[in-house]
Amino acid sequence: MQNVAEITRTAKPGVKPQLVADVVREAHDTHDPYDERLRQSPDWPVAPGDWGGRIYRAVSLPRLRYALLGFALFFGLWYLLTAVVVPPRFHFIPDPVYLFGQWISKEPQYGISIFTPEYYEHIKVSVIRVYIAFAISVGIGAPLGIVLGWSSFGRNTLFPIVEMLRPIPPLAWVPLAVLTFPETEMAVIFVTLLASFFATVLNTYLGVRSIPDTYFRAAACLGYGRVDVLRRVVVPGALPFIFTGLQIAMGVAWFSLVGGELIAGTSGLGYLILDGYTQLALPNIFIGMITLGVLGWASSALIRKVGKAMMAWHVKGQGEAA
Amino acid sequence: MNTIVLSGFARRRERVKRALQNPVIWQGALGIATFFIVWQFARWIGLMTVLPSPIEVAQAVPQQMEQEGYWLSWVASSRRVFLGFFAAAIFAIALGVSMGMARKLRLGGFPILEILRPIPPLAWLPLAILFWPSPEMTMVFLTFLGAFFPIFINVLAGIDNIDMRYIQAAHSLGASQRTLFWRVMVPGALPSLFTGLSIAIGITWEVVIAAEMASAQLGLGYLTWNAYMSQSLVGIVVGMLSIGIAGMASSGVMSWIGKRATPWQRGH
Repeated sequence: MQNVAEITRTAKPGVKPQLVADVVREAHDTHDPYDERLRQSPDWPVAPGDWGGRIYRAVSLPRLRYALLGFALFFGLWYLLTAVVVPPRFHFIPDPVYLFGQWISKEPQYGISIFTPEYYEHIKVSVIRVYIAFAISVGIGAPLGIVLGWSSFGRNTLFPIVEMLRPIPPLAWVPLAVLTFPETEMAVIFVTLLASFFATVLNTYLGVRSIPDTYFRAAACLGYGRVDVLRRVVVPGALPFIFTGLQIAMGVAWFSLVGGELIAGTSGLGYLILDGYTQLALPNIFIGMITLGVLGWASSALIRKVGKAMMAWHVKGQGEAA
Repeated sequence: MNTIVLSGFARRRERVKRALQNPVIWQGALGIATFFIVWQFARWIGLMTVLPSPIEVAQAVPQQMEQEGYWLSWVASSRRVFLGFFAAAIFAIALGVSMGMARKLRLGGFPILEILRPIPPLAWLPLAILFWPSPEMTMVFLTFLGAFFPIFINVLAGIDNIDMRYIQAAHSLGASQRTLFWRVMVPGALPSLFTGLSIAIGITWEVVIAAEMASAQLGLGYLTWNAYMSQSLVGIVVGMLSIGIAGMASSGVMSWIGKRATPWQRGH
């Protein structure tokens, strides 16, 4: 709590510093208008157990007020343009009340809602594809990135190949992947993993290159073998960059997955959207899009969390975007 | 006379020798050569039955480039990319700057954009096809979406990361709002803006390729898809290479402009 000093200083000027707990208790007991104003400031600690105060605090934050106002405007405009006055072509967009009603309806018009097993089937297929692709791209990409960063022979020979293949967008591989792989499933996973593979390789490489030379020399002086240098210097040193890379990798994996499923899939959320298009089941298009957004966001949040837990020593995130 | 020729020759030989001794060059050449030789051998011994070998691809390049619509495809794809990209850049910079400087606007508008951002641009494709009257507009809209968020986020981050002391110093030196904007905010956010622009141009190429595969009559993505439909593997590979070259050239131009626009960043 960084405001402790400030509280003891400003709460009772002229009085010698007190225990913070005393100050807090006193301010809650008395009804001094000066204290009242202080208590409403966002930095003031809420008394333990004072849930009403905590809720009041959260609601009265300007951050929340403006966010709610923004959402109200957004949904209001959406409703206005799709249900009240409908300009040409806006009839393709379902109004929000109908859309969310369908989403939580027990008997949806087009067969997809939170109560239908098909919805979860599509989610499961897409999530499994993304995570398999992610695991493969990290499993190959991170070691390759370490080789590129650590060994100059490896860097000189392999880096030009990586740089030659990297500019080809993953979705341009779709036709080739569909023809080359015996199953569509493998083709979709291959397309999904390509972009995340390059993001992982590049960021791991940059991470290893960012380790100061002195660390390697110190390790050599202390008699570390190659395995120890790898475990104690290279991997921890590159970890912040690797995690930046993993976050980018997760984002581009979802991005390419949708492309792969749209063009070549027969199941999954991307296919759900495409199917909604061909059947003109408009709510399904939106349900698929929003679900994809939520899943993509949740996956990135998960990686951020794991990264923070694994890098307790690393205070501020840094890294390079691919 | 004779000695001059000899020394010129010797100098050239010296230069070649030095290049060959440079590990970056000979090892790089070794890597790429190995890549192609392995690919060619895999084809010869029958490991790769579908993929054409590098020699077949190289032989087919002139014929593929002569086919009708090859260069028109370049023009069509580039036009879609650049229209979407420029529209996105203008909108994203305007919105990023206003949100970076007006707190209330940001508190109200940012959460909505944060909710829209994780939706992959390609997931908008079916809706965009329905909504926009022409396929051309659909594709420009998708490239716009793909480019908008990286630029917007980077503009905002660039403004956020400006050292508070610069702004305070400008204030205490009596800078007007306009001076503050042009002399502190713009140069402070420029490097980050260019990071956003170069990420965005890469994404627009990816998006346009997918969109063209799904719904175009012309374009590099359509060319590749067409080759797939007619089972011409050489055509697919040539299409992929063309897309790669187009994307690389755009990124190159972008980073060249970026370097020109932020000369003080050269050391980084």
